[in-house]
Amino acid sequence: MDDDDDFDFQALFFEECHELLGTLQEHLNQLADGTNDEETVHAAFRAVHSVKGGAAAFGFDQLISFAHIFETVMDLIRSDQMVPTAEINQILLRSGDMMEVLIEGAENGTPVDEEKLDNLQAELEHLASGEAPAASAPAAPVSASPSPAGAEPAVADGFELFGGDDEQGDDAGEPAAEPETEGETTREVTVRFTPDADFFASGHDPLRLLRSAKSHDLTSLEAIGQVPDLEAFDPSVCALSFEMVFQTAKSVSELEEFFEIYAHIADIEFLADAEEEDVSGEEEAEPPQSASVSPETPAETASPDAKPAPEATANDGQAQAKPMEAGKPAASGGAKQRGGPSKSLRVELPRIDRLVNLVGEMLITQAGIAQKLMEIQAADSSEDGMEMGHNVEAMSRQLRELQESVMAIRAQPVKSVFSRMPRVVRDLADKLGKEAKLELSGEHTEVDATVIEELAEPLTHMLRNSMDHGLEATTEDRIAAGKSRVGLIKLSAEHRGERVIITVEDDGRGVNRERVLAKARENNLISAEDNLSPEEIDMLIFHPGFSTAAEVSSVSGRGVGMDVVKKKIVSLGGRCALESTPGKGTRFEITLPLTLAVMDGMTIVVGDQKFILPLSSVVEALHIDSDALKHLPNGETLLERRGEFLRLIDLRTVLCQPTAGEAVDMAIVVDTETSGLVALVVDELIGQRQIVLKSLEANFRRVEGISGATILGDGQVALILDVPSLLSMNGSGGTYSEMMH
Amino acid sequence: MTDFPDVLENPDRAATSSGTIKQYVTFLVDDRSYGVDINLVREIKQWSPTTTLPNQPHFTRGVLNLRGTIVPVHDLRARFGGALTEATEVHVVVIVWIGSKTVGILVDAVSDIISVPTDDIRPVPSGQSLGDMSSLSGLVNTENGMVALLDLNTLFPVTDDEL
Repeated sequence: MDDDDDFDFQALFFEECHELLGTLQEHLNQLADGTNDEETVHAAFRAVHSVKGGAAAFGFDQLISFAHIFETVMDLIRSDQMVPTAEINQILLRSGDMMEVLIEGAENGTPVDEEKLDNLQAELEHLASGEAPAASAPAAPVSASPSPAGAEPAVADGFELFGGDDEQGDDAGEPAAEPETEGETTREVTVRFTPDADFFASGHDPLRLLRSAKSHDLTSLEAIGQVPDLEAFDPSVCALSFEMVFQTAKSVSELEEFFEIYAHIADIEFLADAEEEDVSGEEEAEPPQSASVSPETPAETASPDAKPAPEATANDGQAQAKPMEAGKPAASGGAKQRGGPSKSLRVELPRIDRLVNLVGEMLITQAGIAQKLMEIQAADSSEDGMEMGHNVEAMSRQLRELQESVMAIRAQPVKSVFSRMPRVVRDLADKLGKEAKLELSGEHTEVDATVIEELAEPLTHMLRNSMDHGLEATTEDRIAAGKSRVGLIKLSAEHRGERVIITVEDDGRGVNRERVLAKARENNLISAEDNLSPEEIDMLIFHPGFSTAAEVSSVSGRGVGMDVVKKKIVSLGGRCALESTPGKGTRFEITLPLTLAVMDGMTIVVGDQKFILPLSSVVEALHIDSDALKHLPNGETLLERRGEFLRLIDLRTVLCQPTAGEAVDMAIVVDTETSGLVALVVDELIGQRQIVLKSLEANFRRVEGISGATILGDGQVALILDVPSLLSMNGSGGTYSEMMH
Repeated sequence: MTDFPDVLENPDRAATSSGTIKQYVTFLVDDRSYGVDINLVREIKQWSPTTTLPNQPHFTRGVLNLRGTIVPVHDLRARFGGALTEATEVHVVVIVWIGSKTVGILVDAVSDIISVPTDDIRPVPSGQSLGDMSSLSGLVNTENGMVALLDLNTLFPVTDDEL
């Protein structure tokens, strides 16, 4: 049982860590951008501190020691003993990355680059010892003298010192009440300590605990409960719990640290505190710690008076402590953070998925009812039928609204993916020896969680491509081209209708069309006579197996890159576009649906079955004129459409549907993205509808050529066609179509 | 067939009755009896037309909509080398759990629920020219003849071999 508890806490800890690190990265980025406002520094410090606290509870030593020194440096900045120069900011950013690596290491057992860790740790220690990194003379503003002497004690006794004042920092939204005043006052903290059944068995001794509690200003102690009669007495179980009252100047977090070691073997409850506000502030700001100490404590965070208070303090603290800061952004930022947790609810994704699915079912059922009703009405146009029709219509509107609301629950800002990207760019900048800066915008654009999950991989590829191929090879090249030393990559997101548009734009050299062309000819992707427009040449880089990098680098491998991106995006029902200006830069634009749970589809009939084509790929529907058909020697048929030839694919053959019946003259032109436009022969076109995606893999397996399934109004399953993969089946499998005849 | 729902709703009763007695749902294909562990049977439904998949295995009848989830349906007769069943409304699809997946098995009719002491389960003779018998986990003699117990995992493996 204990193991289970531990496990849960650990999972919770990692979850929190990822969140905290997200915040940390964001704030560090802001710092690096020169926003040296106090709340940013505090927030970053708190994040590091919280991770450390959590790590301590689980004994992740590497992480603890690194977080500790990192925290020390952050504290120096926080207390104005060090001014963050560009160099320091760089180190901080890298430290943030390292924290992530360490947490991943602790979570998944992935190896940590020890050398890098040691180097970084040394750099941080260097900073902590009060020496700013060489060159850049700190242009100290109003700050207190950054004398090494002032910094020393913080290093020597880091833990203790912060203990006193990180309290203030943690009191979220409250930038800085001065440490001194708070340090003097003592307050009363009551802790109820209830040992678990196997407290003794695991070698603990309450007496020892109480003795050492004395050093934490334990003033009174009360044993609660009764030792049972001799017959019922079980000497191996501690029947009592203890209520300890501390009269201490130390912070709650320090006491928590003290009790942490018992957290797994006893129930520790922090009871009413003379300064309630402190407790709740602490708890809210440091979820992993409070969680690891006791499952009970979060209940206290709900204390209703917690919310209004901090805003007031925030402003006070602001005014007193830092007159030089512009109060507004920090205060509002703090308030927002503070208000956040109490108004949001953490729900496991599967629960929401179930809701989304159910709503999907209801939409299908509703469509079924509507269809049936139409049939009934057609047969008998009575008043009742009319009224029923109105009701069904109203229900359909409400359902749609319900669906939108449910989808909105799953909508998340793309920030969760975007915020990982600066690290990618920094890592690559190191590897490639290029200087680059990533600018993010539109991080708050909301997209369905299903899309967000899928976004990280293509985005990483695109950034790699921009770093490796987009930006000039060397800084000298950039300067020669009259650009700034540091390459700029912009990553942005925005809504456009029912879709989200994500762009990656660099200010590099643009696509080298001559080289692309040469390479394409070399690989026989195009013939020498092909006369391509510049845009067509640019699009070649999406072709599988295409890479113009003169030598294969570790960054962008052997042409595994843009075609993978394209495949992925297309499989998500999106599209890619590219715009390049030689010498100026390249701009990739990907368009994605806002959700993967619902999509627009075109219902078609092939043979005796209905299929769905993703509407995003449908270009047009046309009648086949027998004059427009051209036959190739290899048996393939081409369809002439306004002067251009398209491959004509008979879906009945591809989908093993019976080919009996009269010749059909309906074709749908589909953009496959990877191999251009093709025309598909279909028996009938039924129309456009919203469909709820279902997976075939859940109970069966992946089926080549089919991206999923949906349920039609009549309860039948319709398959969603994956045209590019259908084509490759058709292309590679001459054997396949022969087999079917 | 009438007392099915009753038993199906209380599969625990069957499981807890004893470690030595197991219950099997038996069904018919061409007058031959097959049995599946009752704990693996999720429900039994009447045949309804399925949606065929391109390139599906020869014994697969396609997929059907089981209250919102897509479930593949396999033809037991075809799986054992027979022709595809000419399915009509009197044919039955037994929905079973195979690992974490839900799968439908098309059979001619469901016949009974039998309780079998595990000691009475006879091994399948091997090494004879009986064809592939690895998909049977045992044989049981009942008053109404022999029942072949199916090993669903071998019969319809559901491991995803990612392409």
